[in-house]
Amino acid sequence: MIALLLLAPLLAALLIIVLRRWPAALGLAGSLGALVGAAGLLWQVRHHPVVRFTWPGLPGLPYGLGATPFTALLAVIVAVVALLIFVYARGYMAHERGKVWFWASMSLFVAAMQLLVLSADWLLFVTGWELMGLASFLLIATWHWEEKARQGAVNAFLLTRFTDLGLYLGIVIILLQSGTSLMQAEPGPAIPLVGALALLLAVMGKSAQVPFQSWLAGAMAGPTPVSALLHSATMVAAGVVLLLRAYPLLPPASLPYIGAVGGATIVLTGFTALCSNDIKQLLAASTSSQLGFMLVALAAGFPGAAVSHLVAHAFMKSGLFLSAGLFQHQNESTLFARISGSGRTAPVALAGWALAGLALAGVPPLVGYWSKDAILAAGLGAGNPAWYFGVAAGGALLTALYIGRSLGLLWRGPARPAADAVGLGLMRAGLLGLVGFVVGGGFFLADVLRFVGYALPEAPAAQLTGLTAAALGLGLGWFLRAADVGTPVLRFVQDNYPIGGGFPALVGRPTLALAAACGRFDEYLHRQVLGLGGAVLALAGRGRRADTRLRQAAAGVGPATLALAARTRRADAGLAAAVQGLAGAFRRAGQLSRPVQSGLVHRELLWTVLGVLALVAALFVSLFRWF
Amino acid sequence: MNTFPLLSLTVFLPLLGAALLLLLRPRGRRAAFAIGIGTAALTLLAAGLVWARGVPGGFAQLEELPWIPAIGAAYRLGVDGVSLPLVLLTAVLFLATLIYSANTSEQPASFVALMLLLETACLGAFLALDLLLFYVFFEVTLVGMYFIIAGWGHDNPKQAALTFFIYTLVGSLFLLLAILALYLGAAPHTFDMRALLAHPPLGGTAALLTFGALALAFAIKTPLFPFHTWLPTAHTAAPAAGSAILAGVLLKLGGYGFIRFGLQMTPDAFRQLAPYVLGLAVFSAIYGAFAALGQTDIKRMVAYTSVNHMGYVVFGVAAAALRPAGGPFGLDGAVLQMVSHGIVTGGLFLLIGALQDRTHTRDMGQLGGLAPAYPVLSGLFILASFASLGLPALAHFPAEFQIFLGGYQVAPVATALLLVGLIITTALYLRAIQRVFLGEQPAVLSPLGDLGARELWAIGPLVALIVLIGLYPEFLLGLIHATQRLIMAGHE
Repeated sequence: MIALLLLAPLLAALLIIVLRRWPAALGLAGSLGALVGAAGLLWQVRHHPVVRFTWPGLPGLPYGLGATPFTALLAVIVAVVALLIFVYARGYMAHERGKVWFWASMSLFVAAMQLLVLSADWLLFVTGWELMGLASFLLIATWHWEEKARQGAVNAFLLTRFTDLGLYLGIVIILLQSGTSLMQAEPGPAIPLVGALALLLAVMGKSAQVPFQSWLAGAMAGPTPVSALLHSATMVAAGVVLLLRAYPLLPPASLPYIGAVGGATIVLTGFTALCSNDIKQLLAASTSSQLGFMLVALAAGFPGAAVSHLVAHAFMKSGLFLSAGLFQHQNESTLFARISGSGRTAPVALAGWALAGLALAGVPPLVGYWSKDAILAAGLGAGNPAWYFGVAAGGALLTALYIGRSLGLLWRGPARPAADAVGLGLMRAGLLGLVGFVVGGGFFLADVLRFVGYALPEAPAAQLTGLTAAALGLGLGWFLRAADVGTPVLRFVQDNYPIGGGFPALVGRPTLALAAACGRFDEYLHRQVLGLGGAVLALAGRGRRADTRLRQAAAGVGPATLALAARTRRADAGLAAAVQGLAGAFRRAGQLSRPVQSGLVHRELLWTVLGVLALVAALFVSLFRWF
Repeated sequence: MNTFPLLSLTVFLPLLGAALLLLLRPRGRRAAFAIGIGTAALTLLAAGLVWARGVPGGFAQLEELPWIPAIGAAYRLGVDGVSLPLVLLTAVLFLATLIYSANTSEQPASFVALMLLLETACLGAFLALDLLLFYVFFEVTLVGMYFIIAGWGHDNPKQAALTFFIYTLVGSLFLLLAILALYLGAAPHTFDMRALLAHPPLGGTAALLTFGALALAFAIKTPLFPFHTWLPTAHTAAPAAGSAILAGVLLKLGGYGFIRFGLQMTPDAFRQLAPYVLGLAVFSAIYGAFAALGQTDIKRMVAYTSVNHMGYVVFGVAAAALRPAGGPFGLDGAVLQMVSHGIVTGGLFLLIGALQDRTHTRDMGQLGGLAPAYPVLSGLFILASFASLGLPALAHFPAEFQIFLGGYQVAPVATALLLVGLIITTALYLRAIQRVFLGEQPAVLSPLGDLGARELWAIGPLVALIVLIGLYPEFLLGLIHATQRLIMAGHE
């Protein structure tokens, strides 16, 4: 089952690349195969709690694949969300360029995420992690003839790879401490704080936490199904999966750092989402903010709450993206200024947006209500409830505000003509499938989590706070107008707080300047060496010193060879002629390059060739004598 | 069957091919390359047989003939888990480059003969177990590469070949001095490397000086900063096949020398000086990455990444030297890194050659949008680039990860610094991909079209090996690890 789950999308990707035809059909088939495999795996794990097998990787550090009920559930969720997005993408990409590139990368992406989910050792984990980065680079660059897409792809990969160095460092520390690459069922002693912080760096990059959230905004240059996949069950989710995997190894001292990162992200990116004037940018900022909730829940000591929000968010956010893509197809834009009011003429898209959005805001009985309550309850149960609960409640209010505002913007405004694009039916089908989970999932969430071994924290105060925040936020948000562009503060928030010019100015340009300086210095160094060499050669030409050295070397090997040859008494005329022939031919080879390369060096080299050749030939002779 | 001199056959098969060429003097290009490719294929087969015959860990399949008994020099060959992967790499790369350059129209017979001579020299250097024999083969590699650059290069081959010559000659001089010191230090005097490995002859200042000479010689060959400036110059001028061999095989002589000579023959001196070597390796790796990022010529850029990747190799070896008992990973990683770098960079240089045949420029500022124009060429280049920047599941990752593991045990801060090199190589490859391959398709395309059969036969197997080593490094690591354990055990 694991093999089917991993190989189906991988084979689909390979076939698409090799055949260069039927990309969508192959992609869908691979995705369907993965879903069958995942479902089968979940069934398998129901009877045998852990499936695991290993094979040799690095010396003493084996590879391992395996599934627990939790990872099997995660695999199923990834497969379901991916399949529905694939169905949608079949319609979305019907008339777009770059289908082969797109579908191959999508399939590779899903395979990489499944590898990460099912890895039972750290080496395969990092393999899935980085392959996903490669696939996301390719996907964001799908429309690479647009400058924005190229730049977004490079920024995304570069920023996440920088933070991945933390993953490398963290894994090195874990491996050296535990002595094996396999993830242990019984956790050993906690790793040092520096290892935990290194892992946190990797999480911050992949899950787009402050200050690394900006790559998500740039990633919007890719097709919308890509964003839907990246922002829901894969890519950003990988960061949280990493924290869940490493959770038993984390020292208690590291938890406040995780909480601080998550809390700061909730608030800062929540404001970015609230101020956004583009529907996809709103979703990008919202993703960072929602993942911040998961970090806060983990730091509060309630991984179950984080898992529940991870699951719920996968369905909610992919649903939101798919409806945003419908608006985009209708109006050829994602700016609120261009799509406001189009909700009235696109009922399916609006319904999808409203249901998934209300769920995200925490309206019962939708799935997000349960997971957000769990996080608020986790905040109350934390060691420092004032901070954890406060930031979670503030975040819930912000979420409701930006959802309410987006609903108001989509509803009010001029009436826009209804969409008339090909593939609309498939797009709607994918969206409705996801919304179905958003509506119905809440009733099963607690049971499913209990099945995979996680408990959901509950507290009446949390429920009350959540409901108040949702009602208040949605009500106020409805009346917020589209942000008026112009005020510098607003721009600053919209652009993800580019302090000092952001990464391009603070890191990018200095790095390139340093690189250019290194290049220039190297040329200088080279000129110095050439000058030195030239001087030496000139000296040698007059004084014949280089000559002497080379001739000595040649002369040294020459007599030795001759002596040997004399001793063997087998160096008959035929062999000698062969040697002569060889030497002659090489002289001719040398003459060929004489026009280019004349003079001293050349002649000496030729001597060396001859001497060495004679030596090698003599070796040959002695070899023959041996038999 | 076990007495059959398979190693000698492997080493001298290419030379036989060269002799055949020079005796027959085929006029046509096809005949010359048929002989060349046939010989290289047979050599690869022979190397495969050496592997099949089994390499348990220590030196195996020994062959010994008296040569100059008076001074204790003999014709000695043998293979272990450090040399065999490099022998296989050499055989694979020469076959690939000969296939690739089968369209060389200028003096094809001489070109093939020189390449085959070079192959014999490289194989001989890796398999020689006698200092004098090693030195001879080492020198011949210099000569062969000199003529290939000077005779078949472009731009300014004279200057490049000259620089290459000066540098490597200096390196050879120091190597010769070190060899003499080792010879004189041993009692009785001998050039037998196995005896010198089993009982490192020198101690104290003599060992330190000898190690210094060795380190200088191999730092030039590897190359390490500041002895690397010959490398980009030579690559810019060399033909694609020459570049692939230069980066893929000849640089490995430096890394091999650090292991075989520095680590095994002067272990105590290496341990004493290892912190300096580590520091130089880290600086070299980072400097190489930055200098590569500063290039506009895509071939020069890839050339500079060799300085980065080979810095990792020396780092891994130095980590092993510093901690003989505990650190198995550094040395395993260093040997595998040499193989990975040979395959990946060899493939990249061949791809750049194919690119240059089509665009007639290597200036990244003038290129763009090649992915839609030549999808296969671009796809393979992007794959090889991601391998080179160390993506897991591709060849460099298992090697570099082990080097990090080994390094972290002895020098955590230096290892963390070394990681910076990873992000810079990522940046430079992404920048190259973005500028050269992405974007709107150019208006005028080459009549050559996408990669042809000749190019695919040369590059395809290399790409397959990149993936194979990435996914299942055990097939080489098992071999390397057995020898590595012996080396480390002999060390304590």
